[in-house]
Amino acid sequence: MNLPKLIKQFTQRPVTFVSIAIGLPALLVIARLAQRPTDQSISGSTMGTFYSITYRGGTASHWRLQTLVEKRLEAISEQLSNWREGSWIRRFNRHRSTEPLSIPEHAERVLEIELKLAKRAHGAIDPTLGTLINAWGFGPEPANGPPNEHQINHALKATGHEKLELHKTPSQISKSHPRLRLNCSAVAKGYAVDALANLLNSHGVRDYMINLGGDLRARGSPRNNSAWQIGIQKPSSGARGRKALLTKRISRGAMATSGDYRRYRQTGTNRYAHVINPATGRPLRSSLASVTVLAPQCAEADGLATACLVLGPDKSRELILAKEQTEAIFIERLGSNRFQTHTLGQAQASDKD
Amino acid sequence: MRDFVNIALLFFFLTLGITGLLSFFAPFSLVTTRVHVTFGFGVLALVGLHLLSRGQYFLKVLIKRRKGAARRTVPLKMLFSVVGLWAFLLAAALSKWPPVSQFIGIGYEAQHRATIFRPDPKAVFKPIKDGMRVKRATEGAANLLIELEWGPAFPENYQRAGGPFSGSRPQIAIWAESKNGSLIETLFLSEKVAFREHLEWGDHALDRVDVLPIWRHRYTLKTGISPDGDVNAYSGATPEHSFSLNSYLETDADQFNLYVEVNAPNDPNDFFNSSHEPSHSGYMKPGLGQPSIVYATHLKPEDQAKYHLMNRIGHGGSSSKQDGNIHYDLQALTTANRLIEKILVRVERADGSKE
Repeated sequence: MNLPKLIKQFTQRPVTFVSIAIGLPALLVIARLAQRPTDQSISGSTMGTFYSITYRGGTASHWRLQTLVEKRLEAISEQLSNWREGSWIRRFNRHRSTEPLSIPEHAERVLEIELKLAKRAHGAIDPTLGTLINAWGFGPEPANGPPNEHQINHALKATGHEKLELHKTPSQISKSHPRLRLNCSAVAKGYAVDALANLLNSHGVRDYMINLGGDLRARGSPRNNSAWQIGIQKPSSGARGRKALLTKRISRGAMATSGDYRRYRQTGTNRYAHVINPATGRPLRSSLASVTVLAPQCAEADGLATACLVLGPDKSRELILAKEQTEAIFIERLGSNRFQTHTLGQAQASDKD
Repeated sequence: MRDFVNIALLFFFLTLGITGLLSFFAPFSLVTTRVHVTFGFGVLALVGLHLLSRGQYFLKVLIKRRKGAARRTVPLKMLFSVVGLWAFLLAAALSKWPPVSQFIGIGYEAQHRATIFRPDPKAVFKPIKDGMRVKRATEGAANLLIELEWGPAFPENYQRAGGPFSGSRPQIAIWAESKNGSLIETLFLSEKVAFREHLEWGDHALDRVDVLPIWRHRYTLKTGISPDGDVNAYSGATPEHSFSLNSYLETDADQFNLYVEVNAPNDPNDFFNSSHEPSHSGYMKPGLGQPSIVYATHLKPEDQAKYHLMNRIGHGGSSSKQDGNIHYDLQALTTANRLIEKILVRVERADGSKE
């Protein structure tokens, strides 16, 4: 190649020369800029609450990720929403037979997780409380006031995780009591968070925080910090959303909180929370206001938070300490606007990569 | 004519190019958009004139002439290349294919999507004499109407000598919150803070959280991006919550709170000013003056009151004490208390009844 000749040819074509001299650097700048990801956000409503995803990077465009997120949440709601007419779980609950029924993918996974947790927690968490939840007015069917003793005992006969069985190949589920009704709200939100995390991971997103109604999972960090800062809300029904009792830094892991201060019913001076004690069939009465669990997966954290709220700190010890990377923070009510915290276990919520 | 078109194109196209780049890489600006659209039509007209004057050329190159006449046609290969390139770029732009999607991805809008605020399409803002009106309609149930009247201190602070590019308007945020303090929906945000986290306001470089701290901290729930890195999200018992006012304006819906936060630039007083030490409780960053003022009202679907008058409840805190919490002491505020005369809120049912 004759370099002087080439240069002479370029300089004799000034338009070509100028176009390349400006165009090439411009393309390089554009390519470089395209590589600097900024924080993006996807938010909306699902399962009767909000979701908010903050993320950075990844191989898919924002629009594609948003569409995939919405589709994934829609698929989970279609199977597990007790409020959606036509959902799988409502069809199962209307199925008054002990014959097996086919079970779709998300419902199967949620029930596998919840049944395992139910066994470990000695029944403190139970996916078969649908009848009781409805009876106390926290389900999709209206209730005329709190149930009486007879109604509670009648409902208790149709509950019990041991009355449920999952079958493989084909995937089916059967119940040994025809009136048994499912309600997977103890784990469903946490499962949805994990499903979204898997979606983001599979599209190359390494920095994200998913918040679904206070159940969270995070990886990496935001742009302006080295880890995600998550506040544990002060468990007071009148508390503003911004009051945090504690703050945790998470760069890999999940956090879920179960408490009695947001959803409750009031009849006269009696106030009863939406968390039902499977052993008694009655709403939980305890000095515990909330339990927050940190764990690698959000479905597990979600289920454990409910189980620990029912069991209390002493009986939860074995449950929490048996699992690695798991931590439970119990917030006990001492009086008006006064709280005390106890912690079990230790989650190492930082990225090991 | 040709000389006019050519020289005019030089100026018009240059202006279009500059404003086009500004529109792509910089935050949205009404001024830039106005100039861009004006010169866009100008370039359209000039190019149209140019193409018309070259009509004979196009006839010659696109349509083969009769046998015997001199022919000047372009090679088919080149013609197909031009049409092919045009078709590909059009399809790529319409369908978000690469390289268009990558190119759009480096624009300001795409890079700052999480922090750019756009109201719900059913939230409409209208300036009126001595104030402004915001209306949030819903699918069928009810409309929320907010009417804000400026106070005597309002025009003093921003109408400065100079053209339309000088002076800084007071910035306003209007939003709804659930009973437990979670942001439902932002109904209105002034232009300057709507499109960027860092802005030039009151002739100083400031952050959005400096100007409207209460709203900005609430907004973290939706985006997960905290203004100061303190807390990105809260874990708590699941609230029944939505990021849309639609369900809250149903007849049997839950109650909610409505807030307005307003801040005017460069309105310091004896207590709130930038001459203090940064640790002083009255220290304000240059350009801010007095802190933002917060108005609130509580709305109940079954409320029979025709109008709700929003109450002035507090301020956003000094720059040394700004934590996203409302500060309820109003004594040290002077002109800031007179920025707004009154704010009236009304829920109007679709059946014509008023709440």
